[in-house]
Amino acid sequence: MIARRQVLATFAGIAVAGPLVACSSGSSSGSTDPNAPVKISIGDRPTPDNAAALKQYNDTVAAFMKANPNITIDTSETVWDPQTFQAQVAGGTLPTVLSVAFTEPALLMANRQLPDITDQLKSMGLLDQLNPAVLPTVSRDNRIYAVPIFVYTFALIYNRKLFTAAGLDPDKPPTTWDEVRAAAKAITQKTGKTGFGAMTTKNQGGWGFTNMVYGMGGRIESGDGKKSRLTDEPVVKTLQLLKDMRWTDNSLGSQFLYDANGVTQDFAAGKVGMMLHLPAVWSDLVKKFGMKAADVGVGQSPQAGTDLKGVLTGGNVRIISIKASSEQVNAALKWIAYNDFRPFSDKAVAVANVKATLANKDFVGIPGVTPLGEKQYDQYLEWIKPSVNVPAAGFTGYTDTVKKMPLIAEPPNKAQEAYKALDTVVQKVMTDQSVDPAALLSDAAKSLDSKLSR
Amino acid sequence: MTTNIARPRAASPAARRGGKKREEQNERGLLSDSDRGRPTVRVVLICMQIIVLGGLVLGGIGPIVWAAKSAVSTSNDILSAPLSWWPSGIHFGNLAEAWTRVRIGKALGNTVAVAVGSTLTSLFVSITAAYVLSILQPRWGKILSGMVLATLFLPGVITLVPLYQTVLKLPLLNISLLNSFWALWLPAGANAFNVLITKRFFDGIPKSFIEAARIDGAGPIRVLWSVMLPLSRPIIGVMALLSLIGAFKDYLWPLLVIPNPDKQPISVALPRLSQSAELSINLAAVFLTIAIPVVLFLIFQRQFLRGVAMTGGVKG
Amino acid sequence: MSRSDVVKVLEVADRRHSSRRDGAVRRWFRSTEPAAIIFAVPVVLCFVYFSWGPIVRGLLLSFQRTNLVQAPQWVGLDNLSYVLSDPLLPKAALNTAWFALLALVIGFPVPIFLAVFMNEMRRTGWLYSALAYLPAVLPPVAAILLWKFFYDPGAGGIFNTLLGFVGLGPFPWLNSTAMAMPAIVLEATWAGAGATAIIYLAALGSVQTELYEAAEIDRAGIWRKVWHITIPQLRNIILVMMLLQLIGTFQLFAEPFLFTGGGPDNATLTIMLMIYQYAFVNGDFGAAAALSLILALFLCVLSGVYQLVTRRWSD
Repeated sequence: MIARRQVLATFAGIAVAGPLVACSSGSSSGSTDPNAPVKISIGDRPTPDNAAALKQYNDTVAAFMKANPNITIDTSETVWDPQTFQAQVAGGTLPTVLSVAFTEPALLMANRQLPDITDQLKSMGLLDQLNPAVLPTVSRDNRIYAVPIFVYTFALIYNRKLFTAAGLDPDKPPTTWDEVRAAAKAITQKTGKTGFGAMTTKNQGGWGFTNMVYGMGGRIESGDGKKSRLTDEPVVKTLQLLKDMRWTDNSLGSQFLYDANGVTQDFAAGKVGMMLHLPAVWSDLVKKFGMKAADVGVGQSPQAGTDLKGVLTGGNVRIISIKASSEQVNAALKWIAYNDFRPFSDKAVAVANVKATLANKDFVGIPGVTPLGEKQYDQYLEWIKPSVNVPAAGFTGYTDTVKKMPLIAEPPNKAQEAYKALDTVVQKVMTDQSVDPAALLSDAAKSLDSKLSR
Repeated sequence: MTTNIARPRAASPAARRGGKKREEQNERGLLSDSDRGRPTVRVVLICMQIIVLGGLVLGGIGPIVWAAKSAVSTSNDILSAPLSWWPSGIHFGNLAEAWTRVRIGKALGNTVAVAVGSTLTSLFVSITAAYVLSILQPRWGKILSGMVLATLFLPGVITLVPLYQTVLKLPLLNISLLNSFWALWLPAGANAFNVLITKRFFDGIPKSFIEAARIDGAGPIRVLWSVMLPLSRPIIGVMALLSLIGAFKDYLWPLLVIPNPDKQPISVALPRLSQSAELSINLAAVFLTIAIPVVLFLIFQRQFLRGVAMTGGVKG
Repeated sequence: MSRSDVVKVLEVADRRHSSRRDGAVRRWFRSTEPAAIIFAVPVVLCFVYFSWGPIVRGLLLSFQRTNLVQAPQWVGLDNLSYVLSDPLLPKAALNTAWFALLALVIGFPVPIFLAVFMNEMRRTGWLYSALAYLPAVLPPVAAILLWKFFYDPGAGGIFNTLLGFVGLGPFPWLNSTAMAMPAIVLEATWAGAGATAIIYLAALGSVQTELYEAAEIDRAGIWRKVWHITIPQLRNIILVMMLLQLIGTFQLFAEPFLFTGGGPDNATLTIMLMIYQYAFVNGDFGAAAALSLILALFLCVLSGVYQLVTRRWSD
């Protein structure tokens, strides 16, 4: 998902243009020589159309190699993409270090396709820096196999200008699904635009729908991932809501094949009033697609009622190739520490980073959730406070509840296949007026169950 | 030449090479001169000409012109007024941006590399194979040509997964071809259609040529080099053109075997780009992509159309 | 798969061949057996590695479970039963058949008409040919991205604007289960019709014009001439093209993949897309191979029909 990757680049503000701080890594584990020449490859290089991010990335790599003369880094544009990731794993073409979504480690760990990095993490002192809440995603039998570097929760992104035009208060975004429905209806009736843009393709339809279900208090799979829970009442209710918005209110527009990028582009063009997305999409909307910052609002992910049921939380982890030698694993972790941790744990780097970000006309201070310990992150926010350049007002709806909102992880087993099945469910509701949500979900549950048991 | 189905004619190299001389054997078509003289026929014919020409211009040139126009428009114009001419001016910068910033230039270079390599492999394999099957005719030739022929009816789909497995790790050699152009070049050689077309062409070359060379004491290699190849120029040209266009068209296979964006040909790079770049840059990239084959086609129009007629067209 | 009646042509070529060879040359051919072996190396290697080998491997793979990372397990008919019980399979098969039918109905008359028409244009024929062939030159991916934009479902989309001038629409195009497949067929027809017309045009060159003259003596009108002379003379090539188009239909991938991703609600899911998803999205290569095998068997039946038809003509 390119959007996520770019989100990552913006959010983590990967840049080291400032003074080079000597990297003091802990002593590495016994048998490997920390100074032997070693070569690693890393993916996630920003595409050239994202010039500022690309420059930051290249500068960071160069600075890292200067600080660690024995390590050589090859970069590539390879990114995680759910459509081709399996093929890449099978093909053995993954770089030594790659950032992938939270949905992937479970299967990779089960298939023994990730190296155990627990000891190195401990000896380098990285383990204490991580937020314990996100460790389950990368652990199996109390061993750790990947490094969480970015966490997101869904938000309701809304167009403040269209809100005003529809007679809604842009400073009070809807917080419940009933309010969202009413707002979408108002936008469509008053402005003729799409009230609510729902993603439906590339597994992102299922991803967004899962977040809706979480807000309604439902789940997609049982806790152990052996059974689907698509026939539960909250799931049916969610789908019924989509059906009503589509066929009764006609507030979902006419484009029913949106992926995350498609809906973002149309939102930026002012064709869509609301969408579910990550807060970090703000940067794409404003910088890449030229939307006015003052027109973007970010509210909390809608809930069933006033009590907070929860929001889907996902994120990215850096995985290290199973083919890596112990020297390469060490070098890879050094790189991860340098690139993903230092900007938050070292004031000089954090400030230098933020300055570079500002110089690139990028944004500082888009709110989010942290993979780091809570204290450390608050400390970091203190450091960067003077440089924040996003209008906090646009985010209040989101920041008011983000700390209280229960975080719910993505489906534990074959999440991407579950998302794929849900893509179809959402598309069907959008294109077929006669469909019965309960019957549709019970069919989907059957086919998902057969996949979960395979 | 599909015409041989109805009535096989002894084919002379000249006829083979020149394709069909329509005016020689086809002085008249469906309509006789008296038909053409009738006023109703004339009116209908003129009306039909206008309609067909209009349709063809709209369908053939329309999209290309629209892409050209949009390639130098702003995103906003494309979205809000897709059918008007540059409400907010012409932006040639889009093309430069697409060429450098999103590296359409690089992707096009990769495409050319893929096309050239595939063409060479394909020509080498088809010519040697056709030489064996058509001229040398060993006892086992029939078996070989049968086995090649058998693969003609299995679309590539069938072997997609095992072929991918093969490219991941070549049996016996244990090399992975992933992310290298060889993964596109080598399978291009296993093209039964090209082998058969070349064989057919060789079959049409009179045996007296070979006989004469043999009397001069030429061995098999000499015969291939100095007799067959010079005579095969037309088929080589057609196959090269079609391979080139094929390289521009192929999508699924390069998508699978070239995961590294730095090496991807244009067909794979373009959809990836449409994910991340804004609309105007996107359409500039699309325009640059279609411009090359279109220009090639306009230059080599005759050869193209003859090639299509001769080989029955090639599905991309 | 190329669209030519290679088989037929080969038979003709072989017949001509054997009749035209004399003994001396034949003896020379026979003496070149060692050279033949050397010359056959490239083709044999290429086909063993990239054609025959994969066919055999595909057969084996259909009975194994593997994600290409762990060692494959032998699971017998498990993959086949998993694939056959996949609720999406009938849907995908129907879609593929639906595409084939639509492509015949929409895409077949057009090139025939074009070819007959171009054949009458004595001086300007080349212009029509060039124009008609132009869409076939565009790389499909670029054409698809363009058409995707043309198909915008809003009232401001290009096709909807054009149709709006005559008071039609706006149509949802790719966003409705009923219209998505016809929309894809429309684009595919646009891309392919010109090339097909060129092939028919070549075939028209062999229509015996004496027959027209004979018919004119019988006072036959233009339509009767088309029906009773032109079309029957083209019958062979038309049938060949139909069969080849059918076989080509099963390779339909880029269009649904890029236009709709198989949506909406799987309305454009094709067999090929399913194979791709099994293998490269779910990492279930055994299931993908099993579905390929089923498809291969089906295509063998098609090829059998094809052989029968071509055999009938050669007499």
